[in-house]
Amino acid sequence: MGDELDFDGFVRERYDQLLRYAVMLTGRRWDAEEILQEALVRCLRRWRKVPADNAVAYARKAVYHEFLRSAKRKTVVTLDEIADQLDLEDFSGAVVAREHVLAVLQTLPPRQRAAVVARIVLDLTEAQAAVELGCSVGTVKSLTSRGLAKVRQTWKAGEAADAVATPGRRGA
Amino acid sequence: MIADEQDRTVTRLRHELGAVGVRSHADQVDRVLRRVHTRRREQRQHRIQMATALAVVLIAVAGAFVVGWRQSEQDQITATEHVVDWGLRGDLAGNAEVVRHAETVWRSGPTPPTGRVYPVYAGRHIERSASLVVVALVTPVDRMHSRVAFVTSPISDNQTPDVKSLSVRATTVIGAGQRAIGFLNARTNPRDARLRGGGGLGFILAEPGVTDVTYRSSLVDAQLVETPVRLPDGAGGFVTQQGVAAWNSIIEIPGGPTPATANFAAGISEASVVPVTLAATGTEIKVTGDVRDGDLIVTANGVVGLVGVVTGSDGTLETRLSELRRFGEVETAITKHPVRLSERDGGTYFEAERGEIRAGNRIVLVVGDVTINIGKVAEDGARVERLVDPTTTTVAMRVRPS
Repeated sequence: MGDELDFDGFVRERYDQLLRYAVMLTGRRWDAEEILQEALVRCLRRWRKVPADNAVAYARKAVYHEFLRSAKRKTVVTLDEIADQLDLEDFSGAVVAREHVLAVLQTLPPRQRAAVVARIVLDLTEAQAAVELGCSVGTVKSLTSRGLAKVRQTWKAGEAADAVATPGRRGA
Repeated sequence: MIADEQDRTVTRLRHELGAVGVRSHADQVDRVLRRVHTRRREQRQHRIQMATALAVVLIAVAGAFVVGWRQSEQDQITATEHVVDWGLRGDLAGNAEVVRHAETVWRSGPTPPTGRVYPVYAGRHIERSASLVVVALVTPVDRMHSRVAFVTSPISDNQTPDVKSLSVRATTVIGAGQRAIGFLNARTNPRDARLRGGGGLGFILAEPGVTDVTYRSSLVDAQLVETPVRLPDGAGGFVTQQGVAAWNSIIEIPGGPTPATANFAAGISEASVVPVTLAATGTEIKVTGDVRDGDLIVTANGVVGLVGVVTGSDGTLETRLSELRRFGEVETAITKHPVRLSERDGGTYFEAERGEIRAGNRIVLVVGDVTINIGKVAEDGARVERLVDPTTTTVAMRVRPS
């Protein structure tokens, strides 16, 4: 695509966008910063060969692969721990911390999480998501469907637990 | 029904994920860019070093076969790649309150960690002249680097360090594969008991399994002083002579054909010391790391040069010793006679305003509390011989006086 100056300009322009994507995948800002930095090192290595009109998708793909690598190294973290460790500047006011959407996403296996983010957040078509995630369209469909089912199930379980904990709300 | 539920899930996900905002400051992005470029350069250099090392190994193996040399098997210590993997040691390792308090102290200080913190040592170092509690904490910066903080009690001269009064004594950045960490305070802090002789205090934590290390300082004499440190549980402290500091000392860990080395962290109120790498490119020597114009580049043996022009995360090294007058006082090491250095005919010459200066005398640079060797007077009594060759040095320290 170009030289290192172009790379610096690209990173300055797109850093927050890529970091947000990484946060969606990892659920934690410092993990997201770590994998994004690793992904950018990989991008810089091949920067001259990256097509200018496809740089964002290329960088996102690097983030995704770095995320999969890091996910293999990480130990399992409980939902409560994730909710405690969320470190973002803005939260949706509609949900309590334990049911925060990022915490719920963390309950999905890495590839399901990435498929849900690609389809729901990035709004990619199934074909585009398949290219970005390096799998078939059928796999994207399957991963997304199972991921959404798991999210739905987690939300329902959380709502049921809240209803038991605060019975007065039932009559409200 | 299922399709409706799926639609509702998608709608809620879109709504709530859309509310998640991530913003970064411009200086944070600049920091990331510096790290990315540094990592890329390190990777390039690493590839070159690996190729060179492979060639050396092949030659060595071939040579070994030719002479039929055999060596009895020695105890081998496998280096752990990251210090965070060392695990927690020390007689206070089971005291979660102390470890947690130490982490809180670091997080609330001026240079807090941003990620997860791993404690690797919590213990008491009790000696007749100087005792203290040390908690060593590590946080990964990236795959190649970690930050280390030594959170300690004040130094006690009656063998009763106060475990409840912790503060950050020293922090530094280390690379992957480092086999020991440590700090070296050139002078004590205001709350510390005064040490006999007015010197400072050092502490070393070696990788698990290592019980003997050496630290060397070039400050005491032209010949580096080697002092063995016994580490019964891999950790040990020692009182130093006046002037011995992180910027003129090094830790050596025996166990291979050449000892592994590690830098000390300087005290937080002392000069800032961080590792940098040097690479000779044509007629220039590039310095890579956290550098800016005018920074001093040294090894434990002495001055390498000054950082000249800085572009991005790279600087160019100014190696003319006469330029050091920009930085501080140039004088003889023992008698403190001022000396003027000049360059001519490819060499460095000195002029002394007073006093007799003999061959072998050391010339030092003094900036506040920082004293570092520049070179020694040559046999001809007129030239100054450098103690460090900039063209062959690849790893050094950047020193920025406080």
